[in-house]
Amino acid sequence: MNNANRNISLIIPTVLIILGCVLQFFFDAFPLQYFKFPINLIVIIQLIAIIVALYLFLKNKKFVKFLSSGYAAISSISLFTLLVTIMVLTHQNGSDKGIVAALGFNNVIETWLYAFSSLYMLISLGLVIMRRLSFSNFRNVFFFINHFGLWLVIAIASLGQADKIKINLTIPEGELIWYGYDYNDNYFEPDFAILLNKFNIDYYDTKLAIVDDYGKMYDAKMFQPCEISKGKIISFENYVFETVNVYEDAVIARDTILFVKGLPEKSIVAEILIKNIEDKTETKAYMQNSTSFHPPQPLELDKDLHLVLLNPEPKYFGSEIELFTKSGIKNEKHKIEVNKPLVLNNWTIYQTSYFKSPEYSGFVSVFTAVYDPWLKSVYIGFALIFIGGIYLIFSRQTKKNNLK
Amino acid sequence: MIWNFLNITFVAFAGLWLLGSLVLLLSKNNKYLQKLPILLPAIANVLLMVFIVFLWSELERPPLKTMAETRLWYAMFVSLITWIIFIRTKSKPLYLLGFIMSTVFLLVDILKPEYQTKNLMPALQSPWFIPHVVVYMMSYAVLAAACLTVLIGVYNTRKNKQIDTESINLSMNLVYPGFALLTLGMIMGAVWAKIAWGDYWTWDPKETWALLTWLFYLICIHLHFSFPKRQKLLMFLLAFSFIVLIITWLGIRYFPNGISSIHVYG
Repeated sequence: MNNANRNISLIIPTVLIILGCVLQFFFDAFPLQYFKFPINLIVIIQLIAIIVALYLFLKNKKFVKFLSSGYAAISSISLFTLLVTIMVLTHQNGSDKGIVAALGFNNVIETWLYAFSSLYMLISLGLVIMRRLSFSNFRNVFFFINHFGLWLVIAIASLGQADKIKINLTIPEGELIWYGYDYNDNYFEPDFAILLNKFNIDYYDTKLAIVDDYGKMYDAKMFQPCEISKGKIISFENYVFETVNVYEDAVIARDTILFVKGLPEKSIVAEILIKNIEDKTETKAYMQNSTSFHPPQPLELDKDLHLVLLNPEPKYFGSEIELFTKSGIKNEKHKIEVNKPLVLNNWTIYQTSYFKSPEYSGFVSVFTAVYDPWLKSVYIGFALIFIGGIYLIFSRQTKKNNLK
Repeated sequence: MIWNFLNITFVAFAGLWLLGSLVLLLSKNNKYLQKLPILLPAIANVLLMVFIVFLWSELERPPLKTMAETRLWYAMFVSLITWIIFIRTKSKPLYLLGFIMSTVFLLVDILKPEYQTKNLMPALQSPWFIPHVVVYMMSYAVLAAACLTVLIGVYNTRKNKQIDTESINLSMNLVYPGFALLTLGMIMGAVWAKIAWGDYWTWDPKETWALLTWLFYLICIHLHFSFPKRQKLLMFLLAFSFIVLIITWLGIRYFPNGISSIHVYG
């Protein structure tokens, strides 16, 4: 029996690999797009029905016994592990060609083999759950919680994927946009529109850094870039840098500082007094950060080292919007920020990024809207695995006698 | 700045651990001296914790952003877990290996300090940031202890020509909570990613490597549970799983698609 099980545990993945590769070669990617609602729901229900039926009516058959055994568990996890190993060792953006592309290994999650591997794992996992379905003790209860949570996540995350819509909406300040584009640049109209009233952004202070002739940051052990503000004094070897002033929205034009409003990027000019303690000299000069329309203006410290002004990093950005639903009546004011998305039925709208463009005077805010009707089910799966995980931390699993 | 005090902290930390190790190896039957191998690493750990607290205070954000910062936490957790296991098992080899491992990670921070910025990009300004990274670091430290234990098991097995079941048992007793923490860290990361970017899983190279680590430990657990007699295979898999873990944490940038990960930082 053990030898037979061991053989089956090798035969099934081998057959799945051959079958998956052949189908991939002749039919290209697995047609996940056909599994949209309600088909995916029907498939999930059928899968559950098959697992329950197999257990109830055929549980004493060798093959069903195998599928609910440790052999099948390790065999199915190993097959999935093999696929994930391929993923980490190859580019997954579909760029490779030749045999890698023909077998779909440049985009593993869309292959037939990935689908078969998931199915193998779901059936094995499902039968294990059925076999251990008993709430007689804590161990069995948490076994169920762990395994059913995982089953739910694999099933829903795989089959629910077909219903997921993800689009980017690029909205200039003051404009109303009711459409977006998906990952493949396909036009899509969701059932809402967004008017961007205002885009807010806040920056960290700019930093003073030391670089070598090649622009490489100076040894972090010797000097760490420091934020500067008016009056700030920074020491480095025999130098002292005193920030006399910091000017925002400014550019250096020959010997003058020009203040310009509405620049597409944050442009900073700093007036720095460099004191050399050794030879007791002082130099006052202006420096500027690098922007796409203005080269950086560093200061030479000695023949190898230069003082530069780093571009300020964004501290916060978010959008003040008005949301219009397709019914045309409702318009609501909202704020959307990074890590604070807006939820609208099965849609969630995220603040993704921003940019400035010469075509518009203000900012252009980029939102990502995601429609995922299966999200709650996946979260239930996450919650179950989480609870099971907490139990696993505090439970002692190793029996002293089982290794002897 | 506080980062410059890492050298002193390191010397004190390594010195206390070394002293504890020497006493452990050399002292015999002196009940006062025998308390030192427990007391000295405890002080070392407190020192490292104090350093982390000061760094946190100076940076005005949790020091969990760069690789150098995560190595600090890792050294602290490895040291702490080694100390706890030593109190329970009195395993001298684990004591020494835990000391070496935590010291090496601190040493790397000294030899390769990274640019410590106060700035936290908006996506990292999330309540999930601290639990996600801390739980991962704890998990990595527990699984490091499991790996060290299994290495001791391999050595004993070769030496005694008999499987060292005690080490495997101890190792697996660490793998279960380590794996559970790995799972919690992954789920917290997924929920955070959903809130920040709209996807709980994007198959980013770091995520894929993290899943691979999780799968290898999952195989170890199933092998241990279903085939308790396959101990040699289990020992090999435990050691290999830890290599995968280390690549996930420190080495993905050396793989073809690793550099494109949003998790490559530091």
